[in-house]
Amino acid sequence: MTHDLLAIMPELMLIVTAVVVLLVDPLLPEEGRRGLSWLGIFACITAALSTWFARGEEFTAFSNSIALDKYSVFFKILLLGVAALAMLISEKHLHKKQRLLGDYYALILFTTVGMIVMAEAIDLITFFVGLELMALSSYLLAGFFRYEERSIEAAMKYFLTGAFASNILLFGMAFLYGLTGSTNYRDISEAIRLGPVPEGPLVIAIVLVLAGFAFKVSAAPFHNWAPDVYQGSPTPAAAFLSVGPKVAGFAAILKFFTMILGSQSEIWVPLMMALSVATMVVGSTMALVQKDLKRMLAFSSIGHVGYLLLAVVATGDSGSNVGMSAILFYLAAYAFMNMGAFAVLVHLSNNSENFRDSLDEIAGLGKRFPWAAGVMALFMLSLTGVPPTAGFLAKFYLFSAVVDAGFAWLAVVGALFSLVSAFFYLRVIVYMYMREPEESVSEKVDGRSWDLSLGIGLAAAGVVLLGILPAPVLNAAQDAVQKLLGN
Amino acid sequence: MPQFSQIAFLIIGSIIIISALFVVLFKELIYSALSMVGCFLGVAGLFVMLHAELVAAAQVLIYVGAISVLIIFAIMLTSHRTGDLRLFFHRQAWVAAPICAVAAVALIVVMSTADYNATAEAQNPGDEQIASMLFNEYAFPFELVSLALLVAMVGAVLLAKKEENR
Repeated sequence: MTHDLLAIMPELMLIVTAVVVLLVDPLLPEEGRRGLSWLGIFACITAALSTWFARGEEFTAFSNSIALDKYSVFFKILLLGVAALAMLISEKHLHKKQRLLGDYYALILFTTVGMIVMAEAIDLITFFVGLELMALSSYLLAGFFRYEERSIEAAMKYFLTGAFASNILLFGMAFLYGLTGSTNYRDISEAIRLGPVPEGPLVIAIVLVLAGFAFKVSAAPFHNWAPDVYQGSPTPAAAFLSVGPKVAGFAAILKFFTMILGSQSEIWVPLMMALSVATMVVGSTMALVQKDLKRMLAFSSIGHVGYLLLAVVATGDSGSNVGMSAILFYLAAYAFMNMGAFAVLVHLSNNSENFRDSLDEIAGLGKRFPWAAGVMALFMLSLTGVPPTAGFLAKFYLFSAVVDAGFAWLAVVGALFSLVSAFFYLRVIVYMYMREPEESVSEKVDGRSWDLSLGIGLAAAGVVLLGILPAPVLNAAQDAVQKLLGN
Repeated sequence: MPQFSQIAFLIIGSIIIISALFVVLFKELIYSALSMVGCFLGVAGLFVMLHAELVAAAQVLIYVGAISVLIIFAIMLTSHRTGDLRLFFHRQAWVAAPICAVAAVALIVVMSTADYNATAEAQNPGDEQIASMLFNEYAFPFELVSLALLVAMVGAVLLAKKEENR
């Protein structure tokens, strides 16, 4: 029992902090609420530290509901970092929009608990409850600016499509349970391997689970909610939503398709391949025509999901660990560069009278906001995959894992689309440095905030450090995939 | 001579399908809500047929009792417009309908032709066993659900609370 409670120590810390934030919030005056973000960040840091110091102990807890292995340690620390960064970049923006409420931080903490459970679950029911906890809180984050029509629209769309996707996933999981008589990942995988399991329903189960996951990580053709949701959400929430749920989603996808369905790779590898190519096509081409920066980043994140799915294909056929560790490293790099890019948009929005996130508005940014333009250029280069940034190494490891697995042509397709994507990333840099600002550009106001600057700085440092000193994270990623508990 | 259980299943099944269709086809929200009650009752009947009496009772108490009443109250207490919504979804129906039809046919064919002899025998845990599973094996997800409910409550307050000076 105490063992079980120790296992969920990080979750307990987050939950207690979230409840404290909710309770304290109404008692505080407007100014006093500014400290609440630090309470949340402190909780994330302590939770990450406790995860780190307990990393040596590997066990399953709550009668095989969750696995405490290096894999979940990696994802826990990554997700906690993402949550802390999200809280760091939010405070000033909420203040400016007069929605500085503790509920926001509590929701981020609850989302993080859900994501952590998704990553460490080895039981279908536990996984699904974690997923729903994450999903419910993220719908609310999307609609947090409830007085803005777009925010409510985003929440509504996210809720309807998300609930639908959860049900499809649940339907597929029900098939898996019906076919194998167990909700435990290991037992299901044993039952499928030892068989015989009727082929038809198993294929249906795989298709449904894959479709549900594709919705959750916004893979084409299940991606259409993403641009609208990211555009409408409060920008710092969009930063969080474009990274957190995707990281957790891939943590779960990898476990599902390598642990449970590893023996059935001939069924899901072609499906995953089609999904991945479609996602890369949609992500790269649709981003070309976007005039809204948040929509552009949304399609760009869809493109990145395409590359990641490519590596999932690579793990399937060969069962290689190389593909998995490449995915883990890619997710870490993606978290830094994507959150950084969104954080720069938050900064611009805080410092302008009326910023609408459009491409025209960042014309001549190099002169007006030299620092912001500089780091934005860094994040764009990293998203493109230019050395010596994190994005380059991430793509390099990912594509070489795909080639190693014998899918050279897929890697070529991926590289081609990442070449296409260079166009819209570099266009941002061209606009910032080589265009004169429009006359209608909105008035500059003083919206400096040192914690936002710190957040952007940390993201930029992460992008550079992962680019030149990848070894610690890469080693951690390789350790993490060595042995998944309960396998 | 068909067995009693088969006839019962056919009746319950058609109640579920027809009332589910009514839920989406009615223009008036309140009719949809009332058809949903019929759908929930049908599902409860299915659970009874599967000898899952506890789940059936929970289905009636929670879905037929609490949730439907809540939905009907929500409809009565809010102003609602009818008609526009159907037009809004109209454009997508032409694409969605054939895809759904194909998916439904594929599901039915695969499900009805598959050989289930090899799959694990379904166990039917008694009430006591369910209770002990909830507090032992599934204690963690069980507690986590309460957190999801807390989030839902916070969200409802967040989205619906009247605020001054807005």
